[in-house]
Amino acid sequence: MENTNTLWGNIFKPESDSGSASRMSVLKKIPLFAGLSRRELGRVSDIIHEREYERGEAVFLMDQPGAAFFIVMEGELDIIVPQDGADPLKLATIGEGLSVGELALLDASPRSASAVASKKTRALAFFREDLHKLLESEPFIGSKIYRTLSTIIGARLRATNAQLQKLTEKNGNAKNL
Amino acid sequence: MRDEQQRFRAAVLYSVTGGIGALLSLYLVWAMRALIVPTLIGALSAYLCRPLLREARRWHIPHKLAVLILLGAFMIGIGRVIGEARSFLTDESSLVELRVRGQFKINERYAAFKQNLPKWVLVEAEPLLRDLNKRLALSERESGVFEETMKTLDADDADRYRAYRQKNETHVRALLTEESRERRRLAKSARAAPETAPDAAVNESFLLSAVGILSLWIVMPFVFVFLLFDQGETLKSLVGLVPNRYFEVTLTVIHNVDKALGAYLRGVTLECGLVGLTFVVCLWLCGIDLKVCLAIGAIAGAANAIPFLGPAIGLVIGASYGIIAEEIHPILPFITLDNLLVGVLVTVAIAQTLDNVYFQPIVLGKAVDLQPLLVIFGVMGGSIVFGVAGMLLAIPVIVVVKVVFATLFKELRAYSLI
Repeated sequence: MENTNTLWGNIFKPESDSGSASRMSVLKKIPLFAGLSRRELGRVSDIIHEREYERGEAVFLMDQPGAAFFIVMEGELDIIVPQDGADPLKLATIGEGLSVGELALLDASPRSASAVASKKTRALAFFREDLHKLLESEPFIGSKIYRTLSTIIGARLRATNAQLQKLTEKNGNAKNL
Repeated sequence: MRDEQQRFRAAVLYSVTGGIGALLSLYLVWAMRALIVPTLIGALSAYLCRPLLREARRWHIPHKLAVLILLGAFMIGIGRVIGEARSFLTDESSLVELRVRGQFKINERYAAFKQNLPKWVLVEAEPLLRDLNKRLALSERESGVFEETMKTLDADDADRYRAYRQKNETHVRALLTEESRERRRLAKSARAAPETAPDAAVNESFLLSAVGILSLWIVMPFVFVFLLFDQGETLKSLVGLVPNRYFEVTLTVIHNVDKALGAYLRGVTLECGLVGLTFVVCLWLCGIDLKVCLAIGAIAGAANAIPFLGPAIGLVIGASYGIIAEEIHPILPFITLDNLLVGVLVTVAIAQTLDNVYFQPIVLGKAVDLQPLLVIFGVMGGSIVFGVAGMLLAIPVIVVVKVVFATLFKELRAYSLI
């Protein structure tokens, strides 16, 4: 029923008063697009998809192949890991102006968690293959996005390494005790 | 309870409106089926131009300007082709001269080959030739135009063409005498003659059908221009209708179809270009005028996009010119006017061999991995339903359907939707 509602909602959705300007203002805040000029952001805005999710509706599910990167325009997404026979483990909440699923821009590896709308949510979706095409047709925009993406992923890797090191040291200390 | 009633009402409303919408859409598609082929050809042409627009973007040319440049180039190209064709086709004196030369050459070649042809071929060819001779024969007014044209040519050519015309007339007179004898004999036995439709009615129906065809095909340039200006907005709004659950699957399927269709169309365009180029080079070596070589090469290359029928079209056009050619300047010393037809046949054979052995495997590669039987049925089915355009569109449509189904099921499984 929810899907049917979404379908009909998409067909009969009212004209968005925010439109392109609101998309641009959201995109400007996203670190991935930080290096882009206004004109370049406009190009990204042209190829990005706008979606609406009902409360409780999944944006993507864990273990499914990733194809798009999502930015929350309005509402909230819960990042969860389903648990067997128990409530799902909530990892984070993604609010307005935040993004999720950057790794899907690199390849179709399975999602490591699920994203579910905790309230009615409007999101922008950036499809991986659209980024590849952008890299081919306008390499100066595509390469800027990829460079920022690699910086973000590098920073996350460093943070994970640091966490891992801390945990290893903690475990070592515990053993010594 | 109230919630349940509300859901029930919503489900009824959605089912009824959805059903009506689906029926209405089916009815509209059926009612406007004549527009399907022009629309598809317009869309396919725009799709073929997309890499050019992408390239323009690489050079920082704004999209709208790139589209205008492309349209301008198209207009100039089409204008030149129409201009060339008009100067050749609407000039009555050239047409009349060509008819006389063509009629003479066809009869001459037929007479030369007649002894070597088997009886069953003669039985089929004789009526065809008789009909062709009657069609090519000049009316009184056209004879006047022919005489006027001869005055503008140099004396040798004019004498030669006059001799051609005299022989043509003798040939047609002989045919008519033979035919009236045959008719008398048939009339005696059957005592009835078939009624023929008046020319005016035939002309009128031709005119009406020409206007009908033109009004249908007018949609093609509109679709072409609209899709050239479109920067993905149409696709985005269509994807917008897809339920969220199928969003990523839909994007992936669309991407795969785009990739396969793009690879196929780019491959076919390159392959047709190479076949056309082979025609041009070989015919030029045979001594045919470069302008004519380019025209035959362009038609034969474009026709090559139609499986099975394409090579036949190239063969017919090349052989027709081989029959009526009056003057050649061969690069290959052993080619003469008498064996030019053989040269054309060898050209077609070389083009087809190169196409099958090198162009298709290297250029098309694995772009389309279709069963030959499926291709045959597809092309035949396309021709039955939509004529020549259907034959041309059959393979791209099969490619799209094949990729949609293959990707859809794979992706639906990957997303645990089936």
